[in-house]
Amino acid sequence: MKHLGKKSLSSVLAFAANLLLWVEIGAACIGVCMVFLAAYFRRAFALQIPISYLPMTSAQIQSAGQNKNFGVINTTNGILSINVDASWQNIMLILLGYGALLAVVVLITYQIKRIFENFRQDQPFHQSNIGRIANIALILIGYSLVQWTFVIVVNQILLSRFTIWHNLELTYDFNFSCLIVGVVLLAVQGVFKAGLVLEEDKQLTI
Amino acid sequence: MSLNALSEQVGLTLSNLSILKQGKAKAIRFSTLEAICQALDCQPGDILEYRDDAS
Repeated sequence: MKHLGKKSLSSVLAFAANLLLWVEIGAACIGVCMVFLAAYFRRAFALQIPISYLPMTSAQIQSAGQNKNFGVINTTNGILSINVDASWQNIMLILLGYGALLAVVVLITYQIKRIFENFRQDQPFHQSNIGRIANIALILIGYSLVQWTFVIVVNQILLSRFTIWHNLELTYDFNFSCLIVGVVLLAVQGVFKAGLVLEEDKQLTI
Repeated sequence: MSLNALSEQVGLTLSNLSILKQGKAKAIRFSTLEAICQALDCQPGDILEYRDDAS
């Protein structure tokens, strides 16, 4: 087992994952508070939505930027800032959207934390680890599909409701990295399954 | 010979001897077999038996 100072690498990583988990939970609480504070004081939100589009000329960017009542487009990184009223419906939608995203991150961090805790106890090939790796893989594959659905829905809403942005040629980029990592993790899960069988064989060899 | 005495002579834990006794072991090392044969003064054939699972 590799060591980092006096502690094993697994125990350091388990600690880091645990710390990250609490940071994420803290950030979620702060985020919820900020949503309500923004709703109370500003009565509106500037919703940041990542969109992707084909390269535009400076004239097209200027044309798109003129519609500031609806939102502002940042042409350097493709972030669209939309002005949204602080109605209860919008607050709930924002909390639900960002909440789901954060839940995915927290869930993955929790699974990683538990995996490294098992590593720390010298039980890498454990049935629960196989399940956790499969969980992370399925979450990532599901996330890539949900994100693509989100891109399609957002693009359709933008194209159907805001015709003034006719110069904006939206693209439907798919997040291949999450999908590939998910598929690779499914392969890793297979390796862990084989490792578990070998581990059991080793334990029952007298 | 008791299990305790055998485990001391062979150098196996009681739990491992119990696994052997109950037939739950998946494999046995030659070194373990040699130690058991030495302790019991017998041949491997005296402690191993082939059984056809189908019959």
